[in-house]
Amino acid sequence: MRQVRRVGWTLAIATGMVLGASQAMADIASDKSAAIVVYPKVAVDREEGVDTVIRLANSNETTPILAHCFYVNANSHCSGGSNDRSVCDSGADCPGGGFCVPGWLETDFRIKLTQGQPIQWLASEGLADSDLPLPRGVCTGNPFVGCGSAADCAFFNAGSCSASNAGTRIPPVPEDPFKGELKCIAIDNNGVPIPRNDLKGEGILTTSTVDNLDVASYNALGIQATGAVTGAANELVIGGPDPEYNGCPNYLIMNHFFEDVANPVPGTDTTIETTLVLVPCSTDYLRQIPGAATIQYLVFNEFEQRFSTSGPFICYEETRLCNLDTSDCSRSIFNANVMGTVAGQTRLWAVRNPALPGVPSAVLGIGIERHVGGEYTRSAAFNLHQQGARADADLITIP
Amino acid sequence: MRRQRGLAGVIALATLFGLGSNLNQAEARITTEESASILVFPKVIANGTRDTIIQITNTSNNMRHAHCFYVNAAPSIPGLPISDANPPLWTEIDFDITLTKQQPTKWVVSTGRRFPAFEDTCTGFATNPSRQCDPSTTGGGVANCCDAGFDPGRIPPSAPDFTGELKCIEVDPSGFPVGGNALKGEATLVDIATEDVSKYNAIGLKGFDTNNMDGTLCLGGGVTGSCPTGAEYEACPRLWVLEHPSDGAINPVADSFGFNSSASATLTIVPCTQNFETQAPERVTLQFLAVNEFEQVLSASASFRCWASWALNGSAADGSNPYGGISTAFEKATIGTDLVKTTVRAVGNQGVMMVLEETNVDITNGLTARSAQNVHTSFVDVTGQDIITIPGEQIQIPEP
Repeated sequence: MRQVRRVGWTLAIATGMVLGASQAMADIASDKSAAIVVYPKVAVDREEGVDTVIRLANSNETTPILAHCFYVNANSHCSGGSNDRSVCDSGADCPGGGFCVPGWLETDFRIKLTQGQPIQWLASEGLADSDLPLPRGVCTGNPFVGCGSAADCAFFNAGSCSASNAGTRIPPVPEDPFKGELKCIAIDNNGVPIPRNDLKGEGILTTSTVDNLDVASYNALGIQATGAVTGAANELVIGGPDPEYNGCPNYLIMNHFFEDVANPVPGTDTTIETTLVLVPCSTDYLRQIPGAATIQYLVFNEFEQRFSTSGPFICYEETRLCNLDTSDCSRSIFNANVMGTVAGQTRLWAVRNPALPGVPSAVLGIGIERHVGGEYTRSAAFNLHQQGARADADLITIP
Repeated sequence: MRRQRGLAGVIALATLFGLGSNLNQAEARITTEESASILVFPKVIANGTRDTIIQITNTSNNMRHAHCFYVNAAPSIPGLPISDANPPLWTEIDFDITLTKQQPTKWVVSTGRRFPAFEDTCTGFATNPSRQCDPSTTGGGVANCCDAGFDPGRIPPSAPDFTGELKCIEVDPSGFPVGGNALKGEATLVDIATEDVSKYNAIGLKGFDTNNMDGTLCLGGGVTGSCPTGAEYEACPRLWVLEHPSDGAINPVADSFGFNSSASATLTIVPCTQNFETQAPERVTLQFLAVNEFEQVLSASASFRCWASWALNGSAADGSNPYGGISTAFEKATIGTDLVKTTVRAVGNQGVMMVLEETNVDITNGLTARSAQNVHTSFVDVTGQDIITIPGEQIQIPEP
């Protein structure tokens, strides 16, 4: 009987723990403010009318915030040939015996946002000096005296310096054309990352030409700080058993239309293409080593028929779905021509692969849906769904 | 007997411990990126000018079912602005869908998906163009591969000039609400003339193990007379944060190319508390706090019933814009900068859900493009309780 009673206690406690623990999920979210915000796609190609508007806001209405931001330039460049050092997409862009070599270069800068302040800038232009909304503060004791810090007011014995964007200089992206990501991390005045979940942002991908205006927006992905501080100050532990920030998801789930299918809305005359953009969770900015993994893709059509493919991922991936498994889109498992239905679901996850030249990493991403073939090309960006938590931690190492 | 009573007490305590944890988590943790038990598509349009494609996927490895409601919030008298004399229709129609494991499905709102097209697939259109989806057949009796796939169930076409919301609630095979957290969704708004597209993720409410499977769905909150097991789903937020262009702001990219441009935004809102039995929507008041790039603050307020889609400006309601604007506080001439951060707070005990859509106009070249965004919610939210009431007959037909 005593044993039965013991079993009862155990059962009861286990029930409580299970019921309580079942809700204990806190993942990366694009609809909550966070301590790290990731913009997976920043694109500039002024010749084609392409640019990106970056929006960043401090959701804290009482306290300014400082952010350390990193542009990652994922352009490939020709090595040798007649177009040496120019941006390329493939070897065909490097005639004369050149090779198209993948690149990974980061440029970092700092942004200071006052309490509750939103700002935006063009990736091709950046933002500095008088273009900043509040380039300098004023002394609270004498508003006619401008200041960058309290020291400027102390000289005039004019109180403290009001909050401003002083200290902010946002450079333009390092080259045009540009493709890559932007990541901003909340830091203190000493440059040390701090667990303040106050940053939110959006990326607005825009094409503006005489013939077309195309706007696609997505929410920056937010990685929330847990409040814990472990290890070195410049090593940000994302997930795992002892996390400083919420962990990256185990799976990304993408609802999409299969490639090249006609838009099913009556009265329309376009076909639909979808591009997947992936960026790593782990990155070593100190040693300039990108994140890497093998990505497994599991594809379902509306008949519940399952297909899969896989491929290596290093640093940054921006690929039409149908080019993930083949160069011939009409033969791809992502193509409606093969899959037979209009809509599909793709689940993808990162597998550690020590053979790849990079830090083992999970991935984050967005999808971009393009409706092509009509009078205009129009697109919409969307955030991917997530599922599960990884056992391994990801690591962002900053200089 | 005494021992059994003791054990029951311990289990009750442990359950309460679990529920307590649930309550801690029930702080408006709605999601737009994880599978959930209730999906809300706040902005669904099928009015002849724009149409909407709904995508829903079962992310589990078991068959799942959902009970869905279209709520038509078009004006009672079409062509006239919304007012007390011309309230939104708030007509709901409902239907059920069934998805096999991992099955994605989609439908076009104006046509629905009325007939299974099991055999007619798109396979081979690269060599035989007649096998490509023919949009004119979508949803109809002779639909070709536009409707290929396992039949999710009969999905009715929307009413003409439909503007409103879609809500899908996960249920078990008998029709009782369950917290399976297996559904995800997206809505794609398509402009039929320009083929412009904007897309947002459905807002998801995760379900808990506390669901007592009746027609009263308790979103957040504690144990009450209506909610004897406390929260059955995550709570609805009362606080939302959105970044948007001020009305009349430039489009920075078009402007950088020398084109004259303007931008504006529309906010579409639905209440979290809905009674599908009495069909009597309650009035919700919202407070808006707009912060410009100079950190200057302006405020406004508005109220609505059922559903609202407001322009973020001070325009008067008319036939083409039946809900009108909220306030001139959002206009560039008033607030002074191109970008605005607005905090929206629902007053009282009702939560709300919303989606933002921006409209960019290249005035020089006569071009327009829209983009939709999921809006941010705040961690520092007030936890309250919203209730969705489903008529008992819709859950299970009463036996005589």
